Amino acid sequence: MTQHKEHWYMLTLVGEDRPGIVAHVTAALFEGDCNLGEASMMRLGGNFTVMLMVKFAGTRKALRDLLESVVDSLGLHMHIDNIEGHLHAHLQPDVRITVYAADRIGIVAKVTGALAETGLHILDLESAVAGETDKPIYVMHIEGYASEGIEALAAALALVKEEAGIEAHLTPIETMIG
Amino acid sequence: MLSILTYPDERLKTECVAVSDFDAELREFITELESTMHTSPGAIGIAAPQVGCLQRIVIVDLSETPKFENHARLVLINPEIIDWQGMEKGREGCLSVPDYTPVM
Repeated sequence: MTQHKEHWYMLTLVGEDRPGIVAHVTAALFEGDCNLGEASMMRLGGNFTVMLMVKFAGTRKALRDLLESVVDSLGLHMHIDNIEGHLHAHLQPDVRITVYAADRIGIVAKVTGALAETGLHILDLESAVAGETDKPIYVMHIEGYASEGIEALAAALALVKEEAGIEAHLTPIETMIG
Repeated sequence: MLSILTYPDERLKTECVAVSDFDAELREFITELESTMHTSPGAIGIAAPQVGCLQRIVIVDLSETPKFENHARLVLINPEIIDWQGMEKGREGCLSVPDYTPVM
């Protein structure tokens, strides 16, 4: 294999959840001399999902070849992107928004639409459908950066709450550094 | 300004000794420690071992965060936890672990 300059790739894996996915995939990456960066991995609706920054001195195809057998054996779908990302690119969130509502279509679009218009840069979003099967509750936690100030977001959220009949709370995030 | 030790410097895990001499040198060190803390944006605290001084000295200054009920600026020398209650989650960073602010 021709040696390339080390490069960051974003590896995306999705498949039916089972124990050992992370161990098997990362063992293959380690054997291929890959360095791992930031990652988000979680179980969503019975699937296991991986978004993983991988630093690798080879082409995208070479990385795919390195992982193909382990990914196939685990029944995962794989996607690899070349990325221009790098480490130490964190943005600190200054606001947290929590939304609860009886589940129905459009909650995320309404809430995030109003917040985007008033300057919210979403840095992290997690959501779950809780409650009983016939009475599901949609729960969403957002952390972000209020580029136009928190008051603007609060006003937009108050409107959405009233119009859409949802519960939503906005709390400033104070980061204590010591 | 004092330089801040960063993880994994072993001194950060070393048990510190009590301050015994409350003298001019101690006052001067505390002034320097506080200036060092204020050079880092958003810092509200610093402890002596973070600058390599293995003594039990901590500065906490919440005077710029009036949103929280607090004791403003505290210089704690030989502090001991003798009682505590409750837990609260919040986002925290550490001068000795740069670029990482998890919810703790």
